[in-house]
Amino acid sequence: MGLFKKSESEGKKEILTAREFEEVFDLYYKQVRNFLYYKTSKSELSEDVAQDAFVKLWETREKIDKSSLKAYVFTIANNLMINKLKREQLKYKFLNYAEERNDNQTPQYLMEMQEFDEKLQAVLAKIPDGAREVFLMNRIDGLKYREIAEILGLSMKAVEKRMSRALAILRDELDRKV
Amino acid sequence: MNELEKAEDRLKHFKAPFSEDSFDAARAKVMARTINAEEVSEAHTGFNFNRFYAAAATLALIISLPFLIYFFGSTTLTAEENSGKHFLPDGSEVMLAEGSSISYNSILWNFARTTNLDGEAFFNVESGAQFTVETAFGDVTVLGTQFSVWVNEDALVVQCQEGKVDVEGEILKADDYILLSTEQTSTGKWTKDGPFISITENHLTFENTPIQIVIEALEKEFGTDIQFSSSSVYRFSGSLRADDFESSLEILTKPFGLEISSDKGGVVILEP
Repeated sequence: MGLFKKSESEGKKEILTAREFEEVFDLYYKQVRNFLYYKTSKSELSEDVAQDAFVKLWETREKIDKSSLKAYVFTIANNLMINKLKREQLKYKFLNYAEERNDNQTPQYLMEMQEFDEKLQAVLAKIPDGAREVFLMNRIDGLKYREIAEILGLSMKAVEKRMSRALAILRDELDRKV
Repeated sequence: MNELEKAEDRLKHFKAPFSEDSFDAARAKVMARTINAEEVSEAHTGFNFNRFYAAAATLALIISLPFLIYFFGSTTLTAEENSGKHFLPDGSEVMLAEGSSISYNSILWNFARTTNLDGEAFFNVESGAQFTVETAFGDVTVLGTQFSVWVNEDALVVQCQEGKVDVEGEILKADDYILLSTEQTSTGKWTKDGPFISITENHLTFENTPIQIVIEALEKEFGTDIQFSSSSVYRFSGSLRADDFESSLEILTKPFGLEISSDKGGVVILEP
Protein backbone atom coordinates (compact mmCIF):
# COMPACT_ATOMS: atom_id res chain seq x y z
CA MET A 1 0.00 0.00 0.00
CA GLY A 2 2.73 2.40 0.99
CA LEU A 3 4.27 2.17 -2.43
CA PHE A 4 1.15 3.41 -4.16
CA LYS A 5 0.26 6.04 -1.58
CA LYS A 6 3.61 7.61 -2.25
CA SER A 7 3.04 7.91 -5.95
CA GLU A 8 -0.23 9.70 -5.31
CA SER A 9 1.58 12.65 -3.81
CA GLU A 10 4.11 12.67 -6.62
CA GLY A 11 1.45 13.26 -9.23
CA LYS A 12 -1.04 11.24 -11.15
CA LYS A 13 0.75 11.31 -14.48
CA GLU A 14 3.19 8.61 -13.44
CA ILE A 15 2.50 5.43 -15.30
CA LEU A 16 2.55 2.01 -13.75
CA THR A 17 5.88 0.31 -14.44
CA ALA A 18 6.39 -3.37 -15.18
CA ARG A 19 7.96 -3.87 -11.79
CA GLU A 20 5.05 -2.19 -10.03
CA PHE A 21 2.62 -4.24 -12.04
CA GLU A 22 4.30 -7.41 -10.83
CA GLU A 23 4.03 -6.18 -7.27
CA VAL A 24 0.37 -5.37 -7.71
CA PHE A 25 -0.21 -8.81 -9.14
CA ASP A 26 1.58 -10.55 -6.31
CA LEU A 27 -0.30 -8.53 -3.71
CA TYR A 28 -3.81 -8.72 -5.09
CA TYR A 29 -4.21 -11.57 -7.52
CA LYS A 30 -5.36 -14.08 -4.95
CA GLN A 31 -7.78 -11.64 -3.39
CA VAL A 32 -9.28 -10.82 -6.74
CA ARG A 33 -9.53 -14.46 -7.74
CA ASN A 34 -11.07 -15.44 -4.39
CA PHE A 35 -13.48 -12.56 -4.56
CA LEU A 36 -14.65 -13.83 -7.92
CA TYR A 37 -14.89 -17.30 -6.54
CA TYR A 38 -16.98 -16.19 -3.55
CA LYS A 39 -19.20 -14.49 -5.99
CA THR A 40 -19.62 -17.37 -8.44
CA SER A 41 -18.25 -20.60 -6.96
CA LYS A 42 -16.67 -21.27 -10.35
CA SER A 43 -12.96 -21.78 -9.85
CA GLU A 44 -11.81 -21.95 -13.45
CA LEU A 45 -13.93 -19.03 -14.50
CA SER A 46 -12.68 -17.04 -11.52
CA GLU A 47 -9.09 -17.68 -12.48
CA ASP A 48 -9.65 -16.71 -16.09
CA VAL A 49 -11.51 -13.55 -15.21
CA ALA A 50 -8.97 -12.56 -12.56
CA GLN A 51 -6.19 -12.93 -15.11
CA ASP A 52 -8.13 -10.96 -17.69
CA ALA A 53 -8.64 -8.23 -15.12
CA PHE A 54 -4.90 -7.86 -14.56
CA VAL A 55 -4.21 -7.89 -18.27
CA LYS A 56 -6.75 -5.12 -18.65
CA LEU A 57 -5.19 -3.22 -15.78
CA TRP A 58 -1.88 -3.29 -17.65
CA GLU A 59 -3.42 -2.32 -20.96
CA THR A 60 -5.16 0.69 -19.43
CA ARG A 61 -2.26 1.71 -17.19
CA GLU A 62 -1.85 5.06 -18.91
CA LYS A 63 -5.34 6.15 -17.98
CA ILE A 64 -5.44 5.11 -14.37
CA ASP A 65 -4.59 6.76 -11.13
CA LYS A 66 -1.93 4.72 -9.38
CA SER A 67 -3.32 5.54 -5.96
CA SER A 68 -6.45 3.46 -6.51
CA LEU A 69 -5.05 0.45 -8.32
CA LYS A 70 -6.49 -2.09 -5.94
CA ALA A 71 -10.04 -0.83 -6.17
CA TYR A 72 -9.56 -0.46 -9.91
CA VAL A 73 -8.54 -4.05 -10.54
CA PHE A 74 -11.41 -5.31 -8.39
CA THR A 75 -13.82 -3.16 -10.33
CA ILE A 76 -12.51 -4.49 -13.64
CA ALA A 77 -12.75 -8.06 -12.35
CA ASN A 78 -16.26 -7.53 -11.07
CA ASN A 79 -17.44 -6.00 -14.33
CA LEU A 80 -15.82 -8.68 -16.44
CA MET A 81 -17.44 -11.33 -14.32
CA ILE A 82 -20.86 -9.68 -14.45
CA ASN A 83 -20.59 -9.62 -18.24
CA LYS A 84 -19.74 -13.31 -18.30
CA LEU A 85 -22.50 -14.23 -15.88
CA LYS A 86 -25.06 -12.43 -17.96
CA ARG A 87 -24.61 -15.16 -20.50
CA GLU A 88 -24.93 -18.11 -18.18
CA GLN A 89 -26.95 -18.61 -15.05
CA LEU A 90 -24.71 -20.21 -12.49
CA LYS A 91 -25.64 -22.55 -9.74
CA TYR A 92 -23.71 -21.56 -6.68
CA LYS A 93 -21.71 -24.27 -4.96
CA PHE A 94 -18.79 -23.39 -2.77
CA LEU A 95 -16.17 -26.10 -3.10
CA ASN A 96 -14.26 -26.45 0.07
CA TYR A 97 -10.64 -26.93 -0.66
CA ALA A 98 -9.17 -26.64 2.80
CA GLU A 99 -7.16 -29.59 3.94
CA GLU A 100 -7.75 -30.42 7.52
CA ARG A 101 -5.49 -32.26 9.73
CA ASN A 102 -7.89 -34.92 10.89
CA ASP A 103 -5.42 -37.00 12.83
CA ASN A 104 -7.15 -36.98 16.15
CA GLN A 105 -10.71 -36.96 14.93
CA THR A 106 -13.09 -39.84 15.18
CA PRO A 107 -14.69 -41.05 11.97
CA GLN A 108 -18.01 -40.11 13.54
CA TYR A 109 -16.92 -36.50 13.97
CA LEU A 110 -15.52 -36.31 10.47
CA MET A 111 -18.71 -37.53 8.95
CA GLU A 112 -20.75 -35.06 10.93
CA MET A 113 -18.51 -32.27 9.86
CA GLN A 114 -18.78 -33.32 6.25
CA GLU A 115 -22.52 -33.27 6.51
CA PHE A 116 -22.49 -29.90 8.18
CA ASP A 117 -20.15 -28.47 5.55
CA GLU A 118 -22.50 -29.55 2.82
CA LYS A 119 -25.35 -27.84 4.60
CA LEU A 120 -23.24 -24.74 5.06
CA GLN A 121 -22.37 -24.69 1.37
CA ALA A 122 -26.04 -24.89 0.49
CA VAL A 123 -26.77 -21.99 2.79
CA LEU A 124 -23.97 -19.92 1.33
CA ALA A 125 -25.57 -20.37 -2.05
CA LYS A 126 -28.72 -18.74 -0.66
CA ILE A 127 -26.97 -15.56 0.40
CA PRO A 128 -27.25 -12.84 -2.23
CA ASP A 129 -24.00 -12.35 -4.17
CA GLY A 130 -23.16 -8.95 -2.72
CA ALA A 131 -23.52 -10.05 0.87
CA ARG A 132 -21.80 -13.36 0.31
CA GLU A 133 -18.73 -11.80 -1.30
CA VAL A 134 -18.29 -9.45 1.60
CA PHE A 135 -18.94 -12.12 4.17
CA LEU A 136 -16.49 -14.62 2.69
CA MET A 137 -13.81 -12.04 2.03
CA ASN A 138 -14.00 -11.17 5.67
CA ARG A 139 -14.29 -14.65 7.09
CA ILE A 140 -12.07 -16.62 4.77
CA ASP A 141 -9.50 -14.12 3.46
CA GLY A 142 -9.58 -12.14 6.67
CA LEU A 143 -10.04 -8.79 4.98
CA LYS A 144 -11.05 -5.92 7.25
CA TYR A 145 -14.35 -4.12 6.62
CA ARG A 146 -12.35 -1.03 5.74
CA GLU A 147 -10.37 -2.95 3.11
CA ILE A 148 -13.48 -4.51 1.62
CA ALA A 149 -15.15 -1.12 1.48
CA GLU A 150 -12.14 0.28 -0.36
CA ILE A 151 -11.87 -2.61 -2.79
CA LEU A 152 -15.52 -2.72 -3.72
CA GLY A 153 -16.07 1.01 -3.61
CA LEU A 154 -18.60 0.72 -0.84
CA SER A 155 -19.14 2.72 2.33
CA MET A 156 -18.31 1.13 5.68
CA LYS A 157 -22.01 1.22 6.43
CA ALA A 158 -22.81 -0.77 3.33
CA VAL A 159 -20.21 -3.39 4.15
CA GLU A 160 -21.61 -3.73 7.68
CA LYS A 161 -25.10 -4.04 6.29
CA ARG A 162 -24.08 -6.80 3.92
CA MET A 163 -22.28 -8.61 6.69
CA SER A 164 -25.28 -8.59 8.95
CA ARG A 165 -27.50 -9.66 6.10
CA ALA A 166 -25.23 -12.64 5.38
CA LEU A 167 -25.14 -13.56 9.04
CA ALA A 168 -28.90 -13.31 9.38
CA ILE A 169 -29.50 -15.61 6.45
CA LEU A 170 -26.88 -18.02 7.74
CA ARG A 171 -28.49 -18.11 11.16
CA ASP A 172 -32.02 -18.52 9.85
CA GLU A 173 -31.20 -21.18 7.31
CA LEU A 174 -29.02 -23.24 9.66
CA ASP A 175 -31.64 -23.14 12.36
CA ARG A 176 -34.33 -24.24 9.98
CA LYS A 177 -32.39 -27.23 8.83
CA VAL A 178 -31.71 -28.58 12.26
CA MET B 1 -22.20 -24.14 20.47
CA ASN B 2 -25.13 -23.02 18.38
CA GLU B 3 -25.42 -23.56 14.68
CA LEU B 4 -24.09 -20.17 13.74
CA GLU B 5 -21.05 -20.50 15.94
CA LYS B 6 -20.51 -23.91 14.49
CA ALA B 7 -20.77 -22.48 10.98
CA GLU B 8 -18.28 -19.74 11.81
CA ASP B 9 -15.95 -22.36 13.16
CA ARG B 10 -16.28 -24.47 10.06
CA LEU B 11 -15.73 -21.51 7.84
CA LYS B 12 -12.26 -21.21 9.31
CA HIS B 13 -11.52 -24.39 7.42
CA PHE B 14 -13.02 -23.10 4.23
CA LYS B 15 -10.78 -21.88 1.52
CA ALA B 16 -11.29 -20.94 -2.09
CA PRO B 17 -10.28 -24.02 -4.06
CA PHE B 18 -7.02 -22.83 -5.59
CA SER B 19 -3.62 -24.37 -5.16
CA GLU B 20 -0.35 -22.48 -4.83
CA ASP B 21 0.69 -23.93 -8.17
CA SER B 22 -2.28 -22.32 -9.78
CA PHE B 23 -1.01 -18.93 -8.62
CA ASP B 24 2.38 -19.45 -10.28
CA ALA B 25 0.69 -20.62 -13.46
CA ALA B 26 -1.65 -17.63 -13.44
CA ARG B 27 1.26 -15.28 -12.79
CA ALA B 28 3.23 -16.68 -15.71
CA LYS B 29 0.21 -16.39 -18.00
CA VAL B 30 -0.57 -12.82 -17.03
CA MET B 31 3.03 -11.66 -17.33
CA ALA B 32 3.28 -13.26 -20.75
CA ARG B 33 0.19 -11.29 -21.79
CA THR B 34 1.36 -8.00 -20.26
CA ILE B 35 4.85 -6.89 -19.33
CA ASN B 36 6.62 -9.65 -21.23
CA ALA B 37 4.55 -9.12 -24.35
CA GLU B 38 5.37 -5.46 -23.94
CA GLU B 39 9.10 -6.03 -23.63
CA VAL B 40 9.20 -7.76 -26.97
CA SER B 41 7.52 -4.88 -28.71
CA GLU B 42 9.67 -2.37 -26.84
CA ALA B 43 12.73 -4.13 -28.17
CA HIS B 44 11.34 -3.52 -31.62
CA THR B 45 10.59 0.12 -31.07
CA GLY B 46 13.82 0.77 -29.22
CA PHE B 47 15.98 0.98 -32.27
CA ASN B 48 14.90 -0.93 -35.28
CA PHE B 49 17.14 -0.51 -38.29
CA ASN B 50 14.40 -1.37 -40.74
CA ARG B 51 12.13 1.16 -39.20
CA PHE B 52 14.88 3.72 -39.06
CA TYR B 53 15.65 3.30 -42.75
CA ALA B 54 11.99 3.29 -43.67
CA ALA B 55 11.52 6.54 -41.78
CA ALA B 56 14.65 8.05 -43.30
CA ALA B 57 13.62 7.02 -46.79
CA THR B 58 10.15 8.42 -46.29
CA LEU B 59 11.57 11.68 -45.02
CA ALA B 60 13.99 11.88 -47.94
CA LEU B 61 11.16 11.27 -50.37
CA ILE B 62 9.01 13.93 -48.77
CA ILE B 63 11.84 16.44 -48.85
CA SER B 64 12.81 15.63 -52.42
CA LEU B 65 9.26 15.37 -53.73
CA PRO B 66 9.07 19.00 -54.92
CA PHE B 67 12.40 18.57 -56.74
CA LEU B 68 11.32 15.30 -58.31
CA ILE B 69 8.07 16.84 -59.45
CA TYR B 70 10.02 19.79 -60.81
CA PHE B 71 12.59 17.66 -62.65
CA PHE B 72 10.24 15.10 -64.08
CA GLY B 73 7.23 17.31 -64.62
CA SER B 74 8.71 20.52 -65.94
CA THR B 75 7.74 21.08 -69.53
CA THR B 76 8.54 24.11 -71.63
CA LEU B 77 6.99 24.85 -74.99
CA THR B 78 8.44 27.48 -77.29
CA ALA B 79 7.36 29.31 -80.41
CA GLU B 80 10.17 27.66 -82.35
CA GLU B 81 8.74 24.19 -81.96
CA ASN B 82 5.77 23.18 -84.06
CA SER B 83 5.29 26.76 -85.37
CA GLY B 84 4.31 27.84 -81.91
CA LYS B 85 1.12 25.81 -81.85
CA HIS B 86 0.82 23.44 -78.90
CA PHE B 87 -1.71 21.42 -77.04
CA LEU B 88 -1.63 21.22 -73.27
CA PRO B 89 -2.37 17.90 -71.51
CA ASP B 90 -6.07 18.72 -71.21
CA GLY B 91 -6.40 19.47 -74.90
CA SER B 92 -6.32 23.24 -74.48
CA GLU B 93 -4.69 25.00 -77.39
CA VAL B 94 -1.87 27.50 -77.13
CA MET B 95 -0.41 29.57 -79.92
CA LEU B 96 2.84 31.20 -79.01
CA ALA B 97 4.09 34.33 -80.67
CA GLU B 98 7.66 34.69 -81.83
CA GLY B 99 10.17 34.49 -78.98
CA SER B 100 7.55 33.43 -76.43
CA SER B 101 7.55 30.38 -74.29
CA ILE B 102 5.18 28.72 -71.91
CA SER B 103 5.98 26.27 -69.16
CA TYR B 104 3.94 23.99 -67.00
CA ASN B 105 4.41 20.94 -64.83
CA SER B 106 2.88 17.83 -66.34
CA ILE B 107 2.61 16.14 -62.93
CA LEU B 108 0.98 19.05 -61.14
CA TRP B 109 -1.20 19.68 -64.18
CA ASN B 110 -3.40 16.84 -62.98
CA PHE B 111 -4.18 18.85 -59.85
CA ALA B 112 -4.31 22.36 -61.24
CA ARG B 113 -4.18 23.67 -64.77
CA THR B 114 -1.45 26.22 -64.30
CA THR B 115 0.96 27.58 -66.90
CA ASN B 116 3.66 30.16 -66.75
CA LEU B 117 3.89 32.48 -69.70
CA ASP B 118 6.82 34.49 -70.90
CA GLY B 119 5.85 36.56 -73.89
CA GLU B 120 2.69 36.39 -75.84
CA ALA B 121 0.21 33.66 -76.41
CA PHE B 122 -3.26 32.94 -77.55
CA PHE B 123 -5.21 30.37 -75.58
CA ASN B 124 -8.22 28.29 -76.45
CA VAL B 125 -9.02 26.63 -73.17
CA GLU B 126 -10.96 23.42 -72.84
CA SER B 127 -13.71 23.85 -70.30
CA GLY B 128 -13.10 22.23 -66.96
CA ALA B 129 -11.37 23.21 -63.76
CA GLN B 130 -9.76 26.59 -63.35
CA PHE B 131 -7.07 27.36 -65.88
CA THR B 132 -4.38 29.75 -64.75
CA VAL B 133 -1.71 31.63 -66.65
CA GLU B 134 0.87 32.96 -64.25
CA THR B 135 2.77 36.06 -65.22
CA ALA B 136 5.06 38.44 -63.41
CA PHE B 137 2.17 40.90 -63.22
CA GLY B 138 -0.39 38.56 -61.87
CA ASP B 139 -2.47 35.55 -62.66
CA VAL B 140 -4.97 35.23 -65.47
CA THR B 141 -7.65 32.77 -64.56
CA VAL B 142 -10.35 31.23 -66.69
CA LEU B 143 -12.65 28.26 -66.79
CA GLY B 144 -12.85 27.69 -70.52
CA THR B 145 -12.54 30.39 -73.10
CA GLN B 146 -10.33 32.00 -75.70
CA PHE B 147 -7.98 34.74 -74.76
CA SER B 148 -4.63 36.28 -75.53
CA VAL B 149 -1.96 37.15 -73.02
CA TRP B 150 0.96 39.39 -73.65
CA VAL B 151 3.56 40.02 -71.00
CA ASN B 152 7.02 41.51 -70.64
CA GLU B 153 8.93 43.19 -67.82
CA ASP B 154 6.81 46.32 -67.99
CA ALA B 155 3.26 45.26 -68.61
CA LEU B 156 0.67 42.58 -68.94
CA VAL B 157 -2.08 42.75 -71.48
CA VAL B 158 -4.92 40.30 -71.60
CA GLN B 159 -7.59 40.23 -74.22
CA CYS B 160 -10.63 38.06 -73.89
CA GLN B 161 -12.21 36.75 -77.06
CA GLU B 162 -14.79 34.40 -75.68
CA GLY B 163 -16.18 33.52 -72.27
CA LYS B 164 -14.82 35.17 -69.15
CA VAL B 165 -11.31 35.78 -67.92
CA ASP B 166 -10.23 36.80 -64.44
CA VAL B 167 -7.11 38.95 -64.28
CA GLU B 168 -6.18 39.57 -60.68
CA GLY B 169 -9.81 39.97 -59.70
CA GLU B 170 -10.78 41.99 -62.80
CA ILE B 171 -13.35 40.09 -64.84
CA LEU B 172 -13.07 40.40 -68.60
CA LYS B 173 -15.91 39.45 -70.91
CA ALA B 174 -15.72 38.86 -74.63
CA ASP B 175 -13.85 41.66 -76.40
CA ASP B 176 -12.66 43.24 -73.15
CA TYR B 177 -9.02 43.86 -72.59
CA ILE B 178 -6.95 44.86 -69.62
CA LEU B 179 -3.55 46.49 -69.47
CA LEU B 180 -1.56 46.18 -66.28
CA SER B 181 1.73 47.96 -66.14
CA THR B 182 4.02 49.31 -63.51
CA GLU B 183 2.43 52.72 -64.06
CA GLN B 184 -1.19 52.08 -64.77
CA THR B 185 -4.12 49.77 -65.10
CA SER B 186 -6.63 50.31 -67.84
CA THR B 187 -9.50 48.34 -69.20
CA GLY B 188 -11.72 48.75 -72.22
CA LYS B 189 -13.18 47.27 -75.36
CA TRP B 190 -11.06 46.28 -78.28
CA THR B 191 -11.27 48.33 -81.42
CA LYS B 192 -12.95 46.88 -84.43
CA ASP B 193 -9.56 46.28 -85.96
CA GLY B 194 -9.18 43.27 -83.81
CA PRO B 195 -7.05 42.20 -80.96
CA PHE B 196 -4.26 44.10 -79.37
CA ILE B 197 -1.66 41.76 -80.67
CA SER B 198 -3.10 39.32 -83.02
CA ILE B 199 -1.11 36.37 -84.03
CA THR B 200 -3.90 35.20 -86.22
CA GLU B 201 -4.23 38.48 -88.12
CA ASN B 202 -1.57 40.77 -89.47
CA HIS B 203 -2.35 43.68 -87.23
CA LEU B 204 -1.03 44.94 -83.95
CA THR B 205 -3.58 47.13 -82.33
CA PHE B 206 -2.87 49.29 -79.31
CA GLU B 207 -4.96 51.54 -77.20
CA ASN B 208 -3.43 54.04 -74.83
CA THR B 209 -0.41 51.74 -74.53
CA PRO B 210 2.98 52.88 -73.24
CA ILE B 211 5.32 53.24 -76.21
CA GLN B 212 7.88 50.98 -74.58
CA ILE B 213 5.42 48.11 -74.80
CA VAL B 214 4.58 48.89 -78.38
CA ILE B 215 8.26 48.95 -79.26
CA GLU B 216 8.82 45.63 -77.61
CA ALA B 217 5.90 44.16 -79.51
CA LEU B 218 7.44 45.41 -82.75
CA GLU B 219 10.84 44.05 -81.83
CA LYS B 220 9.34 40.65 -81.28
CA GLU B 221 7.17 40.74 -84.32
CA PHE B 222 9.95 41.76 -86.72
CA GLY B 223 12.91 40.32 -84.88
CA THR B 224 14.67 43.68 -85.00
CA ASP B 225 16.42 45.45 -82.18
CA ILE B 226 14.90 48.84 -81.44
CA GLN B 227 16.72 51.22 -79.14
CA PHE B 228 14.60 53.63 -77.20
CA SER B 229 15.69 55.06 -73.93
CA SER B 230 13.47 57.73 -72.55
CA SER B 231 11.69 58.30 -69.31
CA SER B 232 8.88 60.09 -71.10
CA VAL B 233 5.56 58.29 -71.13
CA TYR B 234 4.16 58.30 -74.61
CA ARG B 235 0.92 56.48 -75.11
CA PHE B 236 -0.03 55.06 -78.44
CA SER B 237 -3.45 54.19 -79.76
CA GLY B 238 -3.80 52.72 -83.19
CA SER B 239 -3.20 49.82 -85.47
CA LEU B 240 0.15 48.78 -86.85
CA ARG B 241 0.75 46.41 -89.73
CA ALA B 242 2.57 43.29 -88.74
CA ASP B 243 3.95 42.74 -92.26
CA ASP B 244 5.45 46.17 -92.82
CA PHE B 245 8.12 47.16 -90.34
CA GLU B 246 8.99 50.57 -91.77
CA SER B 247 5.48 51.86 -92.10
CA SER B 248 4.64 50.58 -88.64
CA LEU B 249 7.64 52.36 -87.20
CA GLU B 250 6.61 55.53 -88.94
CA ILE B 251 3.03 55.33 -87.76
CA LEU B 252 4.27 54.85 -84.25
CA THR B 253 6.83 57.66 -84.10
CA LYS B 254 5.27 60.41 -86.15
CA PRO B 255 2.50 61.49 -83.79
CA PHE B 256 5.06 62.06 -81.05
CA GLY B 257 7.57 63.79 -83.29
CA LEU B 258 10.15 61.12 -82.66
CA GLU B 259 12.98 60.53 -85.09
CA ILE B 260 14.21 57.24 -86.46
CA SER B 261 17.72 56.39 -87.40
CA SER B 262 19.26 53.14 -88.48
CA ASP B 263 22.00 51.62 -86.43
CA LYS B 264 24.20 48.64 -87.11
CA GLY B 265 21.73 45.79 -87.18
CA GLY B 266 19.03 47.81 -85.43
CA VAL B 267 16.93 50.91 -85.24
CA VAL B 268 17.25 53.78 -82.84
CA ILE B 269 14.35 55.97 -81.95
CA LEU B 270 15.39 59.38 -80.74
CA GLU B 271 13.64 62.16 -78.99
CA PRO B 272 14.01 65.39 -80.92
